[in-house]
Amino acid sequence: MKLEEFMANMRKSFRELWSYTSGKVGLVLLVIFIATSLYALIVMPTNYRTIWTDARYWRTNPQAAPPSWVSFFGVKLAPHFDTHLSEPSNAQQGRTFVYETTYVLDVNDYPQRIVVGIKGLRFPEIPGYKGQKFAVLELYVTRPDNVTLKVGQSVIRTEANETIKYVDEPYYLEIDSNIIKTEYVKIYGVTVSTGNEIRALFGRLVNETREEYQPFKGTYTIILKIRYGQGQLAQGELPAEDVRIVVVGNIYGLMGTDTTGRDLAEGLLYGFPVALAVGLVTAVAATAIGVLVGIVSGYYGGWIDEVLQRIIDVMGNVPLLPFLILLVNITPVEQRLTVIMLVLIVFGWGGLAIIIRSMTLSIKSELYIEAARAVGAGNRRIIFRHILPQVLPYAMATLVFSVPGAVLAEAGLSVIGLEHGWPTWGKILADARSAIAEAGGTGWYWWWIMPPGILLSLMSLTFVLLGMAIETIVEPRLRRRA
Amino acid sequence: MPLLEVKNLKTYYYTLRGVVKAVDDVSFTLEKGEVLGLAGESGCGKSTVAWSLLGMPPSPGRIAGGHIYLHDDEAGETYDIANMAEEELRSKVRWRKISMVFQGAMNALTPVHRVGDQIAEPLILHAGMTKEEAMNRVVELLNMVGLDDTIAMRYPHELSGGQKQRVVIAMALALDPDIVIADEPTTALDVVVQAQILNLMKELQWKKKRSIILITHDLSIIAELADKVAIMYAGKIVEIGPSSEIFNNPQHPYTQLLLKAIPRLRGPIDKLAYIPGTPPDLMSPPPGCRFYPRCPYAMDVCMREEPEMVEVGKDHYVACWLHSKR
Ligand SMILES: Nc1ncnc2c1ncn2[C@@H]1O[C@H](COP(=O)(O)OP(=O)(O)OP(=O)(O)O)[C@@H](O)[C@H]1O
Ligand SMILES: [Mg+2]
Repeated sequence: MKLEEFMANMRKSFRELWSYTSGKVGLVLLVIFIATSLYALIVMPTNYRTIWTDARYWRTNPQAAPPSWVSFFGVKLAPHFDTHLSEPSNAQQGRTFVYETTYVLDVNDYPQRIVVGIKGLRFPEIPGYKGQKFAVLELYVTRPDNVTLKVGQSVIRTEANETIKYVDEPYYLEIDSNIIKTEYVKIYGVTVSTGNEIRALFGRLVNETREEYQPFKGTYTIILKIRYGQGQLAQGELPAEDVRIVVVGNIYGLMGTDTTGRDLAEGLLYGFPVALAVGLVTAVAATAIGVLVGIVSGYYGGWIDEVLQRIIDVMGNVPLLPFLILLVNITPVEQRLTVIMLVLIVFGWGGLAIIIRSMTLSIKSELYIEAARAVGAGNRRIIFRHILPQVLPYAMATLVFSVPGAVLAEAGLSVIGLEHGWPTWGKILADARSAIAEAGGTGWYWWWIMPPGILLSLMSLTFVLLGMAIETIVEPRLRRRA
Repeated sequence: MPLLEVKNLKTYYYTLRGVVKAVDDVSFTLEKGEVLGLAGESGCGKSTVAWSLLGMPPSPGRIAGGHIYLHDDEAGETYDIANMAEEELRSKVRWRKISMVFQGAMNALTPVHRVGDQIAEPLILHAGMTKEEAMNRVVELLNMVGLDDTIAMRYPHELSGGQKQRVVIAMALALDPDIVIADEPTTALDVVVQAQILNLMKELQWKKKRSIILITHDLSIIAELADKVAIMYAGKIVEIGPSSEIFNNPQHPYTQLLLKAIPRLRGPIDKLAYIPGTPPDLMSPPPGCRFYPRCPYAMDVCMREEPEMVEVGKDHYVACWLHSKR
């Protein structure tokens, strides 16, 4: 077929698809899905799978936080605060540097923690000095009552001659419960019991005997002090490329986070291309095999038919689930999703093949097949021109229906607990489910469990709508007159 | 030399329950430009003869013996369709030389393709035409059978029965074959359309000097068109001869009864004769004459021995013991 002819056909099919309401809605949804997938492929790093499974990457995010927009609906939770400082607010003789920022707590809630990330920490160059150098990092919080508490500290040592550290990945300094405890006794004379440190830091003691706190609304100043043990930085030199101060709140982003602190918006976005790939590849492959085997089996009959049907019988009787679990468990994690897809393909065509075979058997005995043969058509032509188009509507519907099927199968396997490491909607849904079960009523993570479910349903809907429209197009008898 | 010579053709269906001798020792000839009417009760093997002439008896049928000689004037060759390789049959004979208007033409069109494409199929497959060339010829063919150009763009389900029948005729004429077999071309059509189709066939034969094998159980149609008539009974031709001879001077008791069974427009309805009894089971036909169980003139010999074909007039043959020398 010539290219222009093909393009013309495509345009025509498209226009026809568009003329049905279900086709229109399905197409719009499909376009949204594809566009989102492409967007995800372009903006998301290629190693996103490893990022997703690496808890360290998510340490600056709140855990199990609902989306930020819940505040518009009157849910008052501590805001998430994340800022990058390139310059210190104060420097003393190139030896002590101070970075500071403010955080306003205006709701009855405690933030989760404070994390400071220091990237590209620079050490003074001391001519002639060959020994180790060190820097002291100290974290302070000035509370709304103007009391300053030390909340964290760390000492960074260099190898000899080293002048810069943490270039690729920042060093993370977090608050230290023990330091908070000691500071609290020293300043307020109150012993903070374990587990209450954050309440103590961002709250006020309202009942001393029962050690009850209340959030302390007001402005907090977070201060990072960097002191060098030896030498000093030259004029104009900065102690760090970037200082990031994060007050981890209780709401986050567009879609919230899971209990690891992972941004669900990102994970769900990445789920688009994965879902499309898993669904389309599996469905197209399984349908193609099913149609081919079904037609060959029905058309040629005899021993070919016998062999193919027995293969289908055998495959149909392999207990798929235990087989999958076994197979997936002996596969390295990176290849598990591929294996799942392969198994779904290999075991996914049998049913269709049986139906296509019986359709072929009845079509084969129609007069027009005999007529076509009389006219001079060979086996190939009869199969492709006279039989295939007849089973195509059914095959198309099956294909379109099995697209979400494969994705849902993957989701089901995730729920069973098969780990493949990809942030799929099914995996996110499964994680949410087990997290909710684990929390046992204390956590109802609706922002976590609902979106993947909705996305899965929307995807199913898309393909069902498209299937309905496609069926009317490839089946002339269902077509309405132009 | 006749255009087509069928000699002792045997086509049997090899079913699991036994061998159905649907066509058993059938012989006839067909001249260029001649119309042969093939008549007989339902199930007597008419369609099986037709399919055999295309070299493709329906499965599980096989040509079990005999010859089908087809003379190819252009190539100056004579083929034996009964003993020809499938490939050669397909490239040289089928549809090019002999085509067929299928019985139940309504179902002879694939529902998913436009009729234009279907008429074009033999043109593309055999004549090596491009799509455009084929489409031009399709329009020509459609006009020839009295259909509008726009029909080409329609799907079979968008046509009436008569229109479909014409499309199938157009398809049979696509390669301008020497012989067109029309298997019940008018059954299931109303009388007006029947007449139109018959006129069309007459015209085609007259204009193009085509040979036609017209198969039907309706003798009045054969009377209209045929030059020569063959009467089949239970897999055998029992009488064959010129049309006038068969209709005016039938010799076989079966032919006589068959002619009496033609309903006439004028005349009392109770006069309408029918042939008592049913045709024999073709899996185990009676040993002698196959018609003897129903024959009003049955004799002892009829039960024991098969009658030979004997000439009873010019080109008029009959297989009946009434006419054979014992
Ligand atoms: N595929 C088949 N397998 C077995 N027997 C068959 C098959 N096709 C036809 N027959 C038998 O062969 C005999 C002849 O069938 P055929 O179709 O040639 O009859 P016909 O004369 O065309 O009848 P009609 O007027 O009803 O079309 C019948 O007895 C029929 O039962
Ligand atoms: Mg028939």
